[in-house]
Amino acid sequence: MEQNNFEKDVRKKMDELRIPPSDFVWTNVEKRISKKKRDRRVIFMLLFLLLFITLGGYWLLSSGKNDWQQNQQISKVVKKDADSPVMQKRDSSSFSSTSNPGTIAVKHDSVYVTVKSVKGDSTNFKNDTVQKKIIATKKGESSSVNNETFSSAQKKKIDVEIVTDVRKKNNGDEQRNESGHQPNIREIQSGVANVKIKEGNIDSNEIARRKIGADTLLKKEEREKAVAQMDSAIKEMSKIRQKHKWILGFTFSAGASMLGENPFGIDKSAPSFSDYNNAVSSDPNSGSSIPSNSGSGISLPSAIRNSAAFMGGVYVEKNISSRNKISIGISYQYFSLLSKVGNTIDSIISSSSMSLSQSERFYESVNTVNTYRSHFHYLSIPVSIKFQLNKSETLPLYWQAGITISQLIGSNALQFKYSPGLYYSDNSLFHKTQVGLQTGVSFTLFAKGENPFSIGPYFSYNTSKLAGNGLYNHKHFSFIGIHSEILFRKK
Amino acid sequence: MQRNATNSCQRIAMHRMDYHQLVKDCLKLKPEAQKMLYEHFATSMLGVCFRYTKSMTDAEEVLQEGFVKVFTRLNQFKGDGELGAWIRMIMVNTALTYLKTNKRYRHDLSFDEMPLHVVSTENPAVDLQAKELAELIRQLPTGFQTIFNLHAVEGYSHVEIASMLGINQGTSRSQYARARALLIEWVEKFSLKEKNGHYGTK
Repeated sequence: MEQNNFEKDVRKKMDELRIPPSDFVWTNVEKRISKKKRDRRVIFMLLFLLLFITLGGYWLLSSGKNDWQQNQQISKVVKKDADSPVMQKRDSSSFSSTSNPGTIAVKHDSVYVTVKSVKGDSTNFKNDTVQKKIIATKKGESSSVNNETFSSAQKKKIDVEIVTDVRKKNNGDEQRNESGHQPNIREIQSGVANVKIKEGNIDSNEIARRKIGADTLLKKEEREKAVAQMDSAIKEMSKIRQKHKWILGFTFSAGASMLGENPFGIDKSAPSFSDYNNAVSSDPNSGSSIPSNSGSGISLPSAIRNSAAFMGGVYVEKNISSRNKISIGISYQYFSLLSKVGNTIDSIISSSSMSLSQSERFYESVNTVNTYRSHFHYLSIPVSIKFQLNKSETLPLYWQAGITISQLIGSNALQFKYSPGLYYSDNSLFHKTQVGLQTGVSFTLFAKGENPFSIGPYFSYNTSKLAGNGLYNHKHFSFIGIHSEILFRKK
Repeated sequence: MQRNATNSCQRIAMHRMDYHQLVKDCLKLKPEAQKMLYEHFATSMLGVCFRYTKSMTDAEEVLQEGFVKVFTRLNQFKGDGELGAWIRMIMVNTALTYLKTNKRYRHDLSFDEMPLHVVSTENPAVDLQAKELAELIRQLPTGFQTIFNLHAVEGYSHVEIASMLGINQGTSRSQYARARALLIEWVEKFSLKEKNGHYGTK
């Protein structure tokens, strides 16, 4: 019990202890809590943006994939049917095939039905639509009946319209050619009319089967011709498929690194007492507090200036739709900053409270005549989505946006100790992992060639703070410069 | 006597209600309320931070970090306890985190396994000023200083301290015993010096 009296006394004395803090403590607290509010807003916005990009990307990917599967299915079925014995048995006198690549066609002397599975333009993959063309002819004399492009939601309706149109257009022909061609036309009409459209999903097999079943037989050589066309259509499709593969490329950017509390690194003025909580004129050894801004015995660090930066790496890119791409890569980033320091100090007498002895180099903060370049080396993984802004195929303009996760792999940046007025290196103060946002626009030259080359302005901003303490406390890195990319496409 | 007790209770109730309102206003992010809360607790909390660190710069850094946490986590304050105690707990935790993460303290805070020390039964009267005593506590090696503060001032048990610092309960006891003995020695020396000094001036 007696023993506790000492503790009680100590506790009582310590409860009485009141020390007024310096004014800049509240200034810093206020700054940080208001910044947290802003940060929260920014985080919400970023999350929203990320969600939007993810959903958009998913939608683009899934729609592209569906069309690809659908078209492939059609071509497979048609090819299979063309090779089937039924086809060989058929009377081939009244059929011929068209020579349009990528078009599966069976022609009757009065009517031919075409299902165009892939858009003629090989660079574009026709999304979400299957173009269906029905042309009625009278003994080789073509007249367009209907040319519809429809989406899955409109399929049923449009098919009915197609059938009606075929009937309307062929009514005259039917009457005129009652004796000779009536059964064939009816057959075609019933064939088309019986195309079963499932809700929300076109029955591609049925279209192909009915189309062929509705027609009379092919000649052997014409059938072979048709098969050859199928092959060319499949080749065309595989080319398109190749376009949807990952393509390797190299990237290089050069510009300037910026340091600041905002994305444009505007606050690059010389640090002041209020900016740094280390700026208390207390001797760390004595621990006595003499808070003042008089600056007696206190040195301030010199201003940190922006300097050169570059980044380079490899990446892979994939078309997620005809006009949008996704890319992921790995790159090396180099940022540099300039500051003025004094002469090098070989050794210092390490005090108990200031374990600076682990630093290898020290610089004076007086007579700052030497320019010191702080290097920052990062290894990063950028992920971005590119959106084509124009419709040009020869000179496409892309806007890219994405995120970068980077890891600090080395730095020689200096920290500053106010009380002795010393620069020293301490990389433990840095936040090693950084998350950044990037955006830019670029023109692609030689877009159709083997090595498309993109170039344009680029901006990135690290949303993570560079450090939680010290000279770079609450600062963020930004980069502004020119970004270039070159792709290595296989022909 | 009864009236005095009633007045005291009313004052406490009023005080609590004011805190309640102050917290509410802080949660609404009113800058005046935030500043008021800071001004009310800053001096005493700097005293807490001062005891755990070696320099005023570091103490103020901990204070700043602690108040940022206070304002961002104020919604977690249930209002059932004293606001001051809650803020003090945050300050102590912030100080411990600072000691663990800061290069300058991290090394000193590593505790070697030590044999148990018998706690000294000496019980000298502490005739020092609060600031003087705090200065003496700060002169202790970081490990001793931290454990002494946690046990003697904050009132944590050795089991709690062991879990907070990730050490053995025995290490905590041993360090405390040594810290206590050292501090008593310093307090006595300091008191004697003070007395001699006073006599000398007379």
